Amino acid sequence: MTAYLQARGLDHRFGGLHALQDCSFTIEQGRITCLVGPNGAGKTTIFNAITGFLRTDAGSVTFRGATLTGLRPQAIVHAGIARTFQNLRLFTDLTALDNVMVGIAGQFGEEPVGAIFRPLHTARAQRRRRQEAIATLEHVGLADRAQDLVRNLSYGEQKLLTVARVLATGAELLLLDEPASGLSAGALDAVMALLRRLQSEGKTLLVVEHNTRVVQQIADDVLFLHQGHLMAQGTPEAIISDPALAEIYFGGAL
Amino acid sequence: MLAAMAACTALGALIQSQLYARLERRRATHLVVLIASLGALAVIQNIIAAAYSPNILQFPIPWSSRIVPLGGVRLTITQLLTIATSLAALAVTLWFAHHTILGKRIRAVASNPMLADITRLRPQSVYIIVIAIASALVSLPGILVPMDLGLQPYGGVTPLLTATIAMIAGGVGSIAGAFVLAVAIAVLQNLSLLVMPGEWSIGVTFFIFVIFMLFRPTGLFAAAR
Amino acid sequence: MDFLFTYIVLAEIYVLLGLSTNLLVGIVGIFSVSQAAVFGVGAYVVAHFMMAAEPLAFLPSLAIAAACCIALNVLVTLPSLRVSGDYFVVTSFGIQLLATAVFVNWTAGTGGANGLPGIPPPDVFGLAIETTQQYVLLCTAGAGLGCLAFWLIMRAPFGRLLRAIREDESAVAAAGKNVLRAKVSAAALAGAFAGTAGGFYATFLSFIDPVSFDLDASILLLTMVVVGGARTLAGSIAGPFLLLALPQVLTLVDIPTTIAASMRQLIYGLLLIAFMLFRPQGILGERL
Repeated sequence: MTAYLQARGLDHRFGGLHALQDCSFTIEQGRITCLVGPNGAGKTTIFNAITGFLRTDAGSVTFRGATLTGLRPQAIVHAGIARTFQNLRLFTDLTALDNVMVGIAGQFGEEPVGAIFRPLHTARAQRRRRQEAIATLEHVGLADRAQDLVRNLSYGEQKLLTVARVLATGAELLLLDEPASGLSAGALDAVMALLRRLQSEGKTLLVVEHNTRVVQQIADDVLFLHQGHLMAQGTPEAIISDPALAEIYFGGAL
Repeated sequence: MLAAMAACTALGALIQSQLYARLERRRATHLVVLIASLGALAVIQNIIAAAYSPNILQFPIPWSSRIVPLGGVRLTITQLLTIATSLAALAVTLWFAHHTILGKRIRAVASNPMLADITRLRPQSVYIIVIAIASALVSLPGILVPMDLGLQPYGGVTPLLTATIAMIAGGVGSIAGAFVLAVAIAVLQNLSLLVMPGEWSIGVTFFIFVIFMLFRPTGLFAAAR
Repeated sequence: MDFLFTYIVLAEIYVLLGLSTNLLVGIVGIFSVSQAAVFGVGAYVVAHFMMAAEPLAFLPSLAIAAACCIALNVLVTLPSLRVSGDYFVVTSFGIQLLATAVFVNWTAGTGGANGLPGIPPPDVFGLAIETTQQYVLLCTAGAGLGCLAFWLIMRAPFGRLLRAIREDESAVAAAGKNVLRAKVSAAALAGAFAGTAGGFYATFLSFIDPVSFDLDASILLLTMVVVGGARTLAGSIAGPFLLLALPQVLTLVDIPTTIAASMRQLIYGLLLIAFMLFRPQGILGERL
C-alpha cells in the first residue's frame, strides 16, 4: 500500500546552510499532522519543497502514488495540495471575497478572450462562483466581512482568510503554516475548532505549530524537525514526553 | 575632467537622497521607483537639450585625435586614454569593493538590507554613496566617448541598455563579469559590422541579451548565493 | 472646429494606447517602455496593407496589425517574464530602441526617417471615411469598444487575477493559477490595443514617421497613465485628453521653437517624478 503523502530523502542547501538533511516521512490521509521544531529547523522549507516553491537538491515527494517532484506550484495545487504562508501573503488591496475567488479553480472568463466575447456567460459563471466563495467564507466564519478590503481585517480574521483561500482551491491536503500563532485566546479556539471541522469533512492537514498546547489538542501525529534533520515522528504524547526533544525545543529551560 | 566627475557625483547623490530615498520612505513599489527614474532621465536629457541645442557637439581638442601608431594598430590618443582609464577604473572598483571597509559595508547592505539596517550600517547613506560612486564612474565614459565621437543630449539610452545587458550577462554582482561581457559585446558589435550596417548594432546587443535570458539567466559569473 | 475634432481623434487614439499601457503597467505591474514601439508596428502594418499593390480594406488591415502586435508582445514578454519582472525592463527598453532602429533604417519597408506618406483614408464596409467629423465618429466607436473591452476584463475573473498578480505572484501560484500565462495574455491584449491604435493613427494622419513611435512617445504614454491615474478606466481616458492639451497650452507661453520639443519632454519627466512623489494614484486612479 502506498502512503497518502510520502517524502523521501529531501535534501537541500542554501549556500553554506544545510536546511534539509535527508528528510523522509509519511502523512496519513484524514489526519492532522503537526510539524514542530525550533526556529530555523526547516519547517517552511519542507512546505516549499512539497508545494513546488523550492526544487530540492535531492529527494522526492509522492502524493497518492503520483510523483510531484519538479512540478510547478500551480500544478501541485491541481494535484490536490494547497498551502498558506506564514506571512499570510493575502491580496491586501482586494476584498476578502475576491481573495477567496482568486483561489477557485476552473473559472470561466479567467482569460481575456472569454471575458471579452462572452461577457454574459462570464457574469453568470461569476455569480455561481461568488455563492461558492461566500459559502467558503461562512465556513471559516468571515461571511460578514466579505466585502471588506483585506487590509481592514484584523490579524485573526486575515489568518482565517488564508485558510478560506486554500479551501477555495478544492485541495484535499492542506499545508497550514502557523495558522494559530499570534492569535488571542478567543481567535485561537476558533482556529482550532475550524481545523477539527476540516478534518471531519475529510481534509488532511499538515500544520506548522509552535504552541505545545495546540499541538496536544489537535495533532494526531507529530513530526519533529531540528536543524534540517527529522528527529522523530510519533504521537503528540510520545514526542512531548521525550526529554531529549524537550531539551532541543526549550533549550534546557525545563 | 575632475569637475565633470565631481558634478556627476553630486548629481547622483542628489537624485538618490532627494528622489529615491523619499520614495523608499513612502514604501513605494519597485514600479514607482522605475517610473520616477524614467522621469529623471527625461528631465536631465531635456534640460541639456534645451541648454545646448539637440545637435551634435564636437570637442575642439586638437591633441585628442592625434594618431599614435602602435605596432600595426593606429589609435588616437583619446582611444588610448579610454583603454587606460577603463582598466584603471576596473582595478580601482574591484579593489574598493573587496578590500576597503566601505566596500565591505556596501556588499553587506546589498546582501541583506534589513539586517544591515538593524546593525546600524545605515543602508540609506550607503545607497547614496554607491550612487555617487557609480555616477563618478559613469562620468568617465561620458567624457571620453564624446572626445572620440562627438556629443549629443540624447546619446545616453543606447549605452545604458548595452551596459545593463553587459551587467546581467556578466552576472549581477560580478564587477569583473560585467567588464568582460562589456568588452565581448563591443567586439561582437564591431564584428557584426562586417555583415550588416552599423545602425543595426543595437539589434546585435539585444540578441545577445535574449540568448542569455533563454539559456543562462543568471549570467556567466553570477555571485554564489 | 476642425482643430477641436483633430484633438478629439488624437486623444481617443491615445485613450486606446492608455488602456494598453494601463493594463500592463497599472494593473499587472509590468514596467514597459515599449508601448510606442508596438503602436508603431501597428501603424506601419496597416499602412503597408492599405498601400499594397492589391490594397486591403481598413478593417482587415487593422485585424492583421492587431494580430502582429499580439504576436510581437507574446514573443517579447515570454522569455523575460519567465525569468523575472526586473529583466523585462531591459527587454522593453531593447524592443523600443530596436523598433526605432528598424523604423528609421529599413527604408524599403518604412520609408526611413523621412516617413511614409500617402496612406489612404479608412473605409468601413465600403463606406469611405473622409471628413474629420466622420473620423471622430469612427474613432469614438473604436475607443468606445476598447473601453468596453477593458471594463469587461476588469470585472471578469481575469481582471481579478491580474490585480492579484500585481500584489503577490507567489500567492497567486499558491492559489493554483498560472501566473506566466496570465501575464502573457495581458501582454497580448495590450498588444492588440496598441496595434489597433496604430492603425487609426496611420490612416487619420495619412503620414507616419519614426519620431511618433520613439522612446519619448513611450514616456509620454507612461505620463498619460500616471497623470490620469493607474488601474482605472477613467484614468486612462482622462490622461490622454489632459496631456494632449498641454502642447496647446505651451503655445501660449513664449518659448523659442527650437527648444519647444525638449521643453515638452522635460515637463513630462517632471510630471512623472512629481506624481510618483506626491500623488502615485494620479488624478482618477488607484495607488501604484
